[in-house]
Amino acid sequence: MDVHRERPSGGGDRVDYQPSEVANLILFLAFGPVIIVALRRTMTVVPSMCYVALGAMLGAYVFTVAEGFIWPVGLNLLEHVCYAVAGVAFALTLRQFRRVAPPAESAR
Amino acid sequence: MNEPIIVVLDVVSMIGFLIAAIVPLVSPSETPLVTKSVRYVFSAAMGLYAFVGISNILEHAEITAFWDLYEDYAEIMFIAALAYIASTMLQNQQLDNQVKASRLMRQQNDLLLNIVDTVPGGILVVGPTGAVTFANEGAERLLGMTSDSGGSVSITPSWILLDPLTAEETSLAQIAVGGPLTRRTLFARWPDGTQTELVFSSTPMTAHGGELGGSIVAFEAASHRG
Repeated sequence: MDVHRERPSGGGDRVDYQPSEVANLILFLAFGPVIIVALRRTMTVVPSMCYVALGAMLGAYVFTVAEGFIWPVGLNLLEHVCYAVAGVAFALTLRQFRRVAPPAESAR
Repeated sequence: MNEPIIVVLDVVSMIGFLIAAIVPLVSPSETPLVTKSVRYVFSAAMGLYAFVGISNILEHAEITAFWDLYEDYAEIMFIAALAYIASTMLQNQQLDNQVKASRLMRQQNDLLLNIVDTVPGGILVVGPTGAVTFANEGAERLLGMTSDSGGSVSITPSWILLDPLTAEETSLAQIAVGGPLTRRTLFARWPDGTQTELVFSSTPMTAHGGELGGSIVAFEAASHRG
């Protein structure tokens, strides 16, 4: 039984991508720099794992769109590699953040 | 062919995102930038991708692709949540800077008031109309002024200022609008006829638009040697 969801074609005969995947990529490309600028402005030291996590998320979005055009099997695998890296990196970001966060004294 | 590898990767992803979702909820630490709302939204964002991981596991383990339909929403909301966190952290930083600046200003103001009240001489802030808007403890003692908590200053009993050079009456208003003054001797004559010799200095203040905004008037009791 094939339980995989069908990917509605984004148009043309050879391409196979979901419009929502393109929308995600565009949104991330638009907000990603804003998120990084905000982190750099608000934190004296941005946890390095945060960059890894955001980079992996970007990679996942790129690969998921690109797999509709070329090398679907390999790029799909890379997409999931990126998700795994992002998950671990976000978890490690919190560990790093606890070290670089300002002291709780100034918390309100 | 890659499905088992993908399932393993999705399990790793799900565990990572789940940890990232749970830690901010159980962690009590809070900073001016990472407030409760930021922590909750971050947890929600991480939870969304933990859900995507679970959905991918079910799909690639050939169990069900049902939840795959909802993945798109989760992914869109994830980006929106990150953008919200970034924006909120920026706003929190601005707010924190304002609070710190305001605290610093209050400290400086308190220090200045302490200095002004420690000075044995009198210090007055006289408006352009001659109304006294501030008197330190020295001024209250030397010229019998009283300040209330609302910042208004009253003068009782009424004395008059005499200029020994012209032997004419002068006033604080004339001192306030008369330009800078350096160590000028004036007499305060009290209703009972006694006189206090005072040495006055004043510095004009500029209001908005460059107009004269009154003066800071300082004075002390004259000391005579020999």
